[in-house]
Amino acid sequence: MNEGRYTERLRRVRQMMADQQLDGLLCYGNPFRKDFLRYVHPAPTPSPYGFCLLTPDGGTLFVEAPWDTLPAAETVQEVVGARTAAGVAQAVAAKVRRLGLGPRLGFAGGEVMESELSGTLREHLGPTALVPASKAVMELRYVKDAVELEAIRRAAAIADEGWKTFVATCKPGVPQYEITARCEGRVRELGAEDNFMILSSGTRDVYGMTPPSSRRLERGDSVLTEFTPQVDGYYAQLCRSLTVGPASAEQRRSFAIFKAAADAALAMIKPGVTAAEIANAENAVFAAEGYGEYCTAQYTRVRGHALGLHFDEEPMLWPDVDFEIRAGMVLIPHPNTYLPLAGYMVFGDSVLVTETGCELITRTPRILFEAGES
Amino acid sequence: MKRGLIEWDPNELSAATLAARVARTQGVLAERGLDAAVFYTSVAQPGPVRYLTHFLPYWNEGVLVLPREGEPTLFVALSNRVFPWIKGSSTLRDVRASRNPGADAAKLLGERGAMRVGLGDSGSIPYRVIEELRANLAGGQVVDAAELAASVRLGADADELCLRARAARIAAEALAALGPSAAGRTDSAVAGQLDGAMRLNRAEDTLVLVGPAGRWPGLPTGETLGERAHVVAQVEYKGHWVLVGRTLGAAADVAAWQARLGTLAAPGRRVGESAAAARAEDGTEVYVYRSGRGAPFTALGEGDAVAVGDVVAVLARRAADGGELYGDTFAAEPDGLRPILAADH
Repeated sequence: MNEGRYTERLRRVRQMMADQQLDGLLCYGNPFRKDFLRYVHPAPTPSPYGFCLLTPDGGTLFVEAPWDTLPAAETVQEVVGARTAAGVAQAVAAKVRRLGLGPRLGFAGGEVMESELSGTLREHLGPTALVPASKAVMELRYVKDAVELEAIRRAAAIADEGWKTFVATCKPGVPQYEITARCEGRVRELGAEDNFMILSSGTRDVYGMTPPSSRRLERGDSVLTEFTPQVDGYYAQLCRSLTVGPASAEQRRSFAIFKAAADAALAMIKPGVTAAEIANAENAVFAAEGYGEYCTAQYTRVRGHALGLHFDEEPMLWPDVDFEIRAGMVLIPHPNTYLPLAGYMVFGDSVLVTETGCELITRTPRILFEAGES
Repeated sequence: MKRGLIEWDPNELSAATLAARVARTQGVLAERGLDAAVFYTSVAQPGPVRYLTHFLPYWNEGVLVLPREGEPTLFVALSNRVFPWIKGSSTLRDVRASRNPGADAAKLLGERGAMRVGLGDSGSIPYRVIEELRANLAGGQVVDAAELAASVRLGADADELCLRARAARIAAEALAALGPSAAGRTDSAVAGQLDGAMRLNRAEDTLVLVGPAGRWPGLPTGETLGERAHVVAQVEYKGHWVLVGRTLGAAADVAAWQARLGTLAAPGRRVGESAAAARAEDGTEVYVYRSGRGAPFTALGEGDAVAVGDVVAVLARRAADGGELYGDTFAAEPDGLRPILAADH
């Protein structure tokens, strides 16, 4: 087998299988979530559904035809196709039976699997039991290896380039969806396979971000985005805000609070601190300015999160999350929330947790951008 | 993740049309003696809830509770800060934030005394969500209600075909703007141009596959393309997907392809027969997909047949002439497959 760059990852997965007394590991992905599938089969597949079956000494990818004719990736020796999703599930079960795998088959990513597929799989598996394994695989995913970090750094570089397109597009009269269209085209051209992107524009009436609308930008708007390109399965995120035209005093003052909160998070991040401590460091800045109430769930979702094969990966940075941060994790602390000064605002950078602190992965200047001048 | 323009324009799809869909589904509930139905929605399976309410989750998931009488309620794993957007892009008025939409939906149904609850389009609901529903429905029974699937399936009525034609024009215009050849460009550059152009033309979502002639196209990898390359572009407009496939560097005879594929995959004919006939004619490989649950397309098996009222995509690759690829989207009518966008549009 030519596992190449993934030898160490697969060794850790197979050690987990042994520790958990699993006879095999089945990972599932669909258009909603493919992260567990991509962990063991890093190459992207156009098939809407996919399974990867890992045994102690081999691997097989199961996808919809005709995509089974694409080249096998480095972690599997065989690609099996079927014309329908149910057929794919049946092929998985047939392989499990043929290999005599059992009685415990670990199953990761099954939380999003449709009941139609689940029923087909269970019906044809026979006596082999599907043992939930998402948590065990997630435990392996928290800390990124060198290959994963390389992908995240490339995604971060694309986020930095994409932001330039974002800034160049934001002019009075431009509809929100045009911003997305131009940024999407650019990041695809640069090699991103996907991009999680939400945005908003306006002033104090803006409470959150959504997909783009046809609202046209106006001079004086704040325009904000979470920009999250995906490369080789891995996401990096950049949160930035800009003003259309010169920033007002309120926008500047608001941004200064967000910047200070993000800086407080960066100063806090190191191995051993908890997700709660990072969130609290951000929130303390808002509280000191008299805006503590805007750090609650009424105004903000989270104060940041991890990144990896999912754009919203565990752990969330939130005051009740006691997860201890580890070296090698990639996080985005982002104190994004509503403030009455200038409405919802976002600011954050992807960071790698090092042995002593953290390293910025995104390189975009950490400022409030002003756009819209021709 | 959906990040195109997701808006509801009542001029394209009226509130009355959406209300009639809800009423029709509630009629099915009454006929079956069901107190309510639940429908699941996510980026992967948005179809039934989109059909009934026009709501499309840009990410995450939700569960819609549709009582036999009255307004539907959506439990969704999104912040209440985006509820104005949800209500502005759908007919929904009762929206509730939930980390476990299945459990919370069941609790609401229990509070309302629902005894028999139907799973709408149960095959599309994650097993986990069905377990949450069953575990939390106090005193009630969750039953499969296969009939509901037909009442919420996107199909080929006049409104839908109009939206589908708009999607087809978006794809056609983006492909035309590519020019006759992509020689010397990377697959990523081609995908970027197509993606951007379709979104600029108000596409809700896109899926672009590109690859050199000689193999089925895949997700871009940065590979430089030669004189001939295959492109499959799928585009969604207001919940309606179309698929278009072309070979760059080869001038497709669109009318001839549409006629051939329309005959091969005629309503009532099994897909396996269509595929065998195409192989026998000139070695062409044929795949047939049905659009139904709002996901791009679902592949039909060899034993399945296209039914009148379906919207289907047919993707074919001819072995001859250097391996030309062609794909198109059709409405299945009693007298055959009609292209969503005819060759002479």
